[in-house]
Amino acid sequence: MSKDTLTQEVSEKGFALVVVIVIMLLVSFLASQLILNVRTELQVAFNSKARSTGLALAGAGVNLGIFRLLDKPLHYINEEYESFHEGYEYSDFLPSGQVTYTVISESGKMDLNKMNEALLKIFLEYMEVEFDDQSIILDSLNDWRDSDDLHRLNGAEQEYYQQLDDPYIPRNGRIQDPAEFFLIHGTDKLAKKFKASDAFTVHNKSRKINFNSLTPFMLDFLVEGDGEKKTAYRDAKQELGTLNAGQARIVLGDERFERCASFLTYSSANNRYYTILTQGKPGTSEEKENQENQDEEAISQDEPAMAVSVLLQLKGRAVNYLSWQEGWS
Amino acid sequence: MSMSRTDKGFTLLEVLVAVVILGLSYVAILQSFSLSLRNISKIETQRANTFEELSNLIQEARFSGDTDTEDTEAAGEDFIEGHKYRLVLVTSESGGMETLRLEKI
Repeated sequence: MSKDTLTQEVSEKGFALVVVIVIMLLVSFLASQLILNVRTELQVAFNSKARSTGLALAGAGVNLGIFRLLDKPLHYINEEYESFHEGYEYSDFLPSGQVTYTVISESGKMDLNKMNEALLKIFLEYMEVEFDDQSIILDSLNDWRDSDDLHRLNGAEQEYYQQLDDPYIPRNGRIQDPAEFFLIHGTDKLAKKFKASDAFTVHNKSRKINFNSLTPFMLDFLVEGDGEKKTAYRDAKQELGTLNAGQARIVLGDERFERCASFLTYSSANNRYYTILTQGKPGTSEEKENQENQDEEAISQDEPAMAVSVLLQLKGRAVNYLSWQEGWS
Repeated sequence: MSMSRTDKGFTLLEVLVAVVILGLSYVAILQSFSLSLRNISKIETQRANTFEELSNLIQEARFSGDTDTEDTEAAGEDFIEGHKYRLVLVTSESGGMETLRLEKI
């Protein structure tokens, strides 16, 4: 037996092993893919269930908010039900999870159609917009609303919007939706910094902002992002419910109050347009929440929650839904 | 002599053992495949059901001041009762989802 014959013999015998290994690899690859598929499906199903449960809870929050606006309970479930304040976040528990809801009167936002220019300037300063860009936004906003095609010094009319990459025509009339703000020339510098409906509205009858019904973003703007002032505002709301000019001065501080006082009002002036912000957190029970609050380190921010934002108009005993937005919070 | 060694195949016993082992592993793998596939389709059905349940639930809970709600007694337990309205707890068929419905009294 020569050396060559032996080598050939050995390699031929091993071929079966190679084939088996390749097949086994293929089969285990298929199996791992299948396991991955099952895991993905399970995760998708879990998310879908959490989404649905969260949405149902958030929907409950909307109805709870409307109830609190329209009626007073006969029996108080807890002490929070004794009085109701706009702009304050309330929380409640259903068997399947936690519901939080905040009712905000549209009178707490800046109306784009009746905008006070001085107020918008203060707002743009807060958003760190340069002076030149401020006048572009102010002039363009006026041009957007007026019916003619003649632009102001720094404004923009149809000819400007038509030459954009994605051209559109300006409203040249009453603004219908707060989101239109970001279509106006010069506002691209503010894009993605805030949500238009957090700051603006088209349903505020007054040119002023209702200090007692502020969105979190409007509160940020008025206190210039100062955490202590925000806490002071929330504490005062919780304790007193409705704040007046004197209390606003204490919350905002003398300097800020002097600057903003002429744009503030302290009642909703019969404004029947409301935004209800709700959140549904499935699987959160009262005991669990208390436990988490006690052990602060254990607070998990990962739990999925669904948020719903509804704009509605109350007409006597009827409710007219104007918009309904939902998504993960 | 070298030729006869090269041509020598597996013994019947070796082949039988190999076939049995391969057959068993094949059956096991196929079974887990079919089990997983069944699980996937089950999960998909559940997902579709959850979605359908949610839309029914939301439909049921939607409030409009114009609608008259006559027979509300069997609907669910009261969450809060007020002077003019009450909130009723509505539960989905499987019991996993809940929402509140606003009703006129």
